[in-house]
Parts: sequence; structure tokens; C-alpha cells
Amino acid sequence: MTEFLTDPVFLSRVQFALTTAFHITFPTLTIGLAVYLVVVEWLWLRTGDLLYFRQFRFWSRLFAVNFAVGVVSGIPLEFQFGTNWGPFSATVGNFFGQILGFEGTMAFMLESAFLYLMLFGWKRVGPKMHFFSTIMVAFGSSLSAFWILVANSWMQTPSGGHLAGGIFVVDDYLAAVFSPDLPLAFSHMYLACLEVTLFVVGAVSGANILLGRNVPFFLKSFKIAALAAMVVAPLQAFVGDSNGQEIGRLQPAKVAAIEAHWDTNKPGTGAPWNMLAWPDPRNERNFFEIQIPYALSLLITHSPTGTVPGLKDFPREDRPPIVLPFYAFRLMVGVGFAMMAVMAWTVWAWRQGRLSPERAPGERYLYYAWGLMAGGAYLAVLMGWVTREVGRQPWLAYGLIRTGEGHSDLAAGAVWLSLTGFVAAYAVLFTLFLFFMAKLVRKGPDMAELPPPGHGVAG
Amino acid sequence: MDMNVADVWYWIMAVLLWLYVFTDGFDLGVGILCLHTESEAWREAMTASIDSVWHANQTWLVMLGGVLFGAFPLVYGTVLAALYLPAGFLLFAFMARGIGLEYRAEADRKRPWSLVFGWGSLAVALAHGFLLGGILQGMPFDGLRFLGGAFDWFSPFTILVGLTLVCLYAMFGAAWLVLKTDGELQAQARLWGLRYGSATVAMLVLLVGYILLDGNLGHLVGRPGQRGLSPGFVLLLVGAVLCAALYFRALGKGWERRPLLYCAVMLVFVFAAFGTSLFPLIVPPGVTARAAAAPAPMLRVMLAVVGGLLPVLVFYNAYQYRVFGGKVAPEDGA
Repeated sequence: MTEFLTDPVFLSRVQFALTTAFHITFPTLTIGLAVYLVVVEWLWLRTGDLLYFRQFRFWSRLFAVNFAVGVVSGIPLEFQFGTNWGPFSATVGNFFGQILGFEGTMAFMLESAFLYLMLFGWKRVGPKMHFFSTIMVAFGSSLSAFWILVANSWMQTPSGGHLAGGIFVVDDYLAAVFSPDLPLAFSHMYLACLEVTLFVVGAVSGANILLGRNVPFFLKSFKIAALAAMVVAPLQAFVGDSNGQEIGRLQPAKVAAIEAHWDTNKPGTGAPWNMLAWPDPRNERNFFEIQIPYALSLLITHSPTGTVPGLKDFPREDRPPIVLPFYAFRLMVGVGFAMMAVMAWTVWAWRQGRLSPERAPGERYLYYAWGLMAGGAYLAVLMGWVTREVGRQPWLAYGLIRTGEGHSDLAAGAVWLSLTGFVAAYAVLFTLFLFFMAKLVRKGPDMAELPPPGHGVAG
Repeated sequence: MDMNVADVWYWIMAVLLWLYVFTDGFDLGVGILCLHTESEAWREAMTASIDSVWHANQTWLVMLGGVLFGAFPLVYGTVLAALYLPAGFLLFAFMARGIGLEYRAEADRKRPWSLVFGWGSLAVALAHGFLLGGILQGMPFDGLRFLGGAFDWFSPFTILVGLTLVCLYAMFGAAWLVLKTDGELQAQARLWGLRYGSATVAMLVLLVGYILLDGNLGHLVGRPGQRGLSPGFVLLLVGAVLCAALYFRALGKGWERRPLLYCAVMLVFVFAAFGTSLFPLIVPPGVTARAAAAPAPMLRVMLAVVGGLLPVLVFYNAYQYRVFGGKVAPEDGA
């Protein structure tokens, strides 16, 4: 029963999952906040309204703290491929490693080099060069997400090559980069970054409005976030739905696991959707299930009687775990719907004129909801990735290399050492992160700050 | 061309490693030097001097890792696993360095963060040495299987390499501070530069002496399996020592730019000396660059992309250095 505690493969998986889960929350906000900064700087350059300049200054300080944790927590990920997943790296590195190399070369370097110009270059460069730097930081972080998703999507749907003599040989380079999973997976993740950011900006702003601190300033950021979220949240639901169908086509075993769906529905009948269930993998059934008839066929194929392969169609050794993807997926979708509800509420309140500077501080429950959704957005991102990655098991690269084949020959003790080290270090990092973020938020924007000479009002 | 593209990548890796060791070297050195003063005002100026560049400097390592992963997947997948402990040590040291530096700027009490930054930087330098030394001293492989143990990297040689890097980085850091500061701090930086410069030369001599005494490290000095030094190695090493002499002269004359310049050139000679001796091996004693490389078509794609972008990267990094050039101006941190 406790064998897994001395299994270096299991420990390596836990380590990768924990470090990735921790790391991903930071670039998610970095990517979205960089876009937000581009928008407010653009508004500043266009209108010359100091409020936008101060928006930039305030949110860019939060950006810097968030970015720092993202970087220090991200470096271990790249290296774990080599340290813990050596045979995997050796087998697919000529493609997979190259993609990570491109991420560093094209994207991360761009972000890092222009970051300081954006944060502290106001006195050293003109308005155009500064705006260019901000755009480069945003472009770099988005491009970084693109290459990471290229690598990950390739693990989901490896394409463009074949295995020969233990090495992945690329036949069609573009097909390998643009693997079938990429377009929707990237869109889904990119929108998730924007959503996290919008709800964080909205929640921080809402908390300040509630406390009556700098209400005009935070009402501005709250409204920008709300306006954008009104577009992004429904769009995400649409992309998520398309993504579900696509995965039904590309990784049917994953969908069957996500839905705890055992038996393929017979032609002419519809597959029911398990709203809730507790799977019993040993006996290939669910202990209990609450079902909606035809719903799974509708969800996956958009036809009431479309065929959805059940888990029994796949050999036992090819089936992913079920409980985690099943519940992670439901949490993610639940948060998605809750976000749409909060958006509807916000639209309603706004239309009733309750977001005017006088009345806005009274909307207590609306801001609570936004605060909840900020946490929810992070939860949804993590649950989405749990669904995606646990559902990929038992493969490292789907159908190509099994997880059991790709790990390094390590002593369990060594992995325990690094794993506990990471947990401790990340706990400290996270505490510090919260402490310094809270400090910056409490300090609030500097409403007396003026742009340096040369960055004059109205350009 | 087909066979040689792996060799081209060997040298591109060397250039990237040089870029990384030189640039991150001087900011790590500044961290190590932070431990030599108790003055938070000095530490403020010292950390402010690297604030604008250390992210980008560190990114050369991220890039180096990615490129090594892509170009030499066999090395990436085997060596890092074999060096699991020092690699982990490096990652934690990086966290300490980065967080110390970042949060020092935000914190009200600076001292603890200065120490985290300083000790973190020192630990990174040692970890670099353990990793580099662990590879250079040779690793027994049977195909993909590492035949050694988890502590094989730990030897007098790797400790020597680690200490050499500590001195080297501190030497670079001092040269950087000479360029970026003035007044008393600059005078102190010159003194640090003289001390750590001498220590670096001494460590290099010690290192070569150790290699000569130990019969199994001949591959590092152009004499695989034998004792003695190849003439090429000696020539390049003399070049490095000459650069060190010029560095001391520049410090003594009160020049501000040249010490750092001579550091960079000295590193070129050191890299060339060990790089040419080791070539075509990438992991001694048995793994050549060609044997560990990705298939040639993949290397060519990567050559086009990374080779094409490298000048652009260097250009915008240089622009960045220029914008924040001149002496440290504390008000930039506002």
C-alpha cells in the first residue's frame, strides 16, 4: 500500500506536478497583466489622462513581484526534464527540447530584456520606446505561452514524426509544431490567462472600492476588467466546449475517463452524461451515478445519438486514472459557469447605475463574488491542467512513450530530498509573495505621481 | 556539412556558455561581494547596478538549457540525472539569489535579504562548479545508463572548480562595480578586484597543477590518458594569464571600462583552452559531440532559428545595457 512512497517514478511525477502547478499560477497572471499594461499605456498615450499613467505604474509594480516568483519557480521545470525524465528527454529532445530552446531564445529573453526598460526606463527613454518595451514584454510572455503549449500539445497529440531506434525522428516539422491539439489548447489557455488577470484586477479593485480607498482609480480598473471579462468569459465557454469535442476526437480514452463513461453507446442510442459518479475501475463500473440521458453524446458530438467510445474499448493498461480527471473537470466547468453568472450580475448592476462613484462602494456582495472568482479562476486553471495531464496518462507522449518508460534511474531518497526541498521552498516563496503583494496593494497607487519630463500630457 | 553541424553546435554551446558565465558571472560576483560589506548603502548601490540586467543575464542559462536539450538530447537526458544532487542544489541556490534580490528592493528591513542574495549567489557559483567539474572530470556511461553513483560528482577536483568560479565571479563583479560606481565604493571595488583577481589566477594554477598530478584528467589539457599539457593548451592559458596581467594594470591605472573588458577576453582564452582540449568530446571520457547530437536535419533547423536570432538577442541586450549605462543612479529605482 505504501510502495508508492519508495517509488522514484511516482515521486518524480508528484514533484513535477507540484512544481508545475505552483509555477503556472504566476505566468498566467504575468501574461494577462502584460496585456492590461499595454492597454492602459495605450490609453495614457492617446488621452494624456494621468489616471491611466498611474494605472500603469500601480499595476506594473504588482507585475514585477509576480514576474519574479514566476521566473524562479519556472527554471526548475526545464531542468526536471533532464534530471527526472532523462530517457524521455533523450528520446524526444531533438524536437521537444528544441521547442523549449525556442521558448528561451525567442520569448523569454525578449520578456526579460525589456522588462526593466518597462518598469524603470521612464526617465531613460521616450514615450514611444517605452510603449514599445511594454509591447515587447507582453509579446514575449504570450509567445512564451505559445511555445510551451506547442511542447505540451505535442505530448498530447504527437505528430509529424515517428520513433526509430529509440529516437523521435521528425518527418514533417510544421506538422510536429502545429500538432492537432495546439490551436484550441493554446486558445483555451490564453483566454484562461486573461480571465485570471481580469478577475484578479477586478477583485483587487473591488476590495479597494469597498474600503473607500482611491475609488475613482479602482473604479476605472474595475470597469476595464469587467468590460473585458464580459467578452472573455463567454468566449472561453465556447472555446472550452470546442476543445472538449476536439479531445473526444483526438484522445477518446481521456474523454471516457473525464466522464467515467464505461460502455460505448450502441448505434441509435445516446450516451448519458454522468453529472456525478464514483468510479470503480477494478470492476469497470461506477458505484453510483447521477445521469442525464443523451447529454454526453450531445456534449462530445453535438448529436443526441453520436457514438462516444467507453473505457471498456481500451485495454486496461491504456486507461488513464478516472477520479482525478472526473472531479477536476467538473470543478473547472463549475467555475466557468459561476464566472458567467457573476458577469451577468455585474452587467445588471452597471446598467442600474450602481457602479457610479457614489454608489459603487455599497456593492459589497458583488466584490465578494469577484474575489471568490479570482480564486476560482486560479482553481479552474489548475483543475483544467489536472484534467489535461492526468487524462494523458499512462503516456508521456500520447501513444508514443509511456510514463513508465521515460523516467530517470534515480534513488527514491534523492527524489524525496528534492521534493521536500521544493515544497518547503515554494511554501516560503508563496508566503513572501502574498506578503509583498498585500503590501503593495495596501500602499495603493501614488495619486500625486507625475510622469517624468518628455512623457508630457497628451504625448 | 552533415557531420559537422554537430561540431558547429558544440561551439555555439561554448559561445552561449561564455555569454552566460560572463554576464551572470559578474552579477553573481556582485552578490558574493555584498557579503564583504556591512553597509546597506553600498549594498543598495551594488544591487542597483545589476537590477536592470540580471534577469536577462540569467536567461542565457534558460536558453542554454533549452538549446542543450534540443541539440544534445542524450547529454541533457543523462548528465542531469547523474548530477541530480548538484543540479537540485543549483536550482535552490537560484531561488535564494533571485528572491533575495527582488524582495530586498521591496522590503523595509534590507539586511536579511542582502544576506539571502549574497549567500545565494555564492551557492550558485559553487553549484556551477560542481556541475561543470562533475562533467569535466568524466562520467562513466554505457549507452544511456549512468554507471556511477549519486555522489560521484563530489571530488577534490569539483570543489576546486567550484572555488575557482567563486573567485572568478567575484573578480568579474568587482570589475563591473568599478565601471558602475564611483567614490569610496569604487575604490573598494578596485581592492576587491585585486584580491579576487589574484585568487583567480592562483586557483587556475592550482587547478592545472591538480590536473597534472591526477593522471585521469589529461583530456582537459589536450593529453587524453597521459600526463603533461598540450602546446595549444599552454599557449591559450598564457593568453589568459596575460589578460589577467592587463586586468591588474587597468585596475592600477584607475581605468573604468578595461578591467571588465579584460575579464571577458580572459574568459574567452580559458574557454578556448579547455574547449579545444576537450573537443570532440562533450562528456568525457567517451561521449563525443557528434554521438550525443540530435539528427542533422533538426540541428540545421535549430541553427537557422537560433543562429539567426542570436545577433538580435545580443543587439537588444546591448541596447538595454546602453540605456542603463553610466554610473548607478539610485533614482532609477523609483
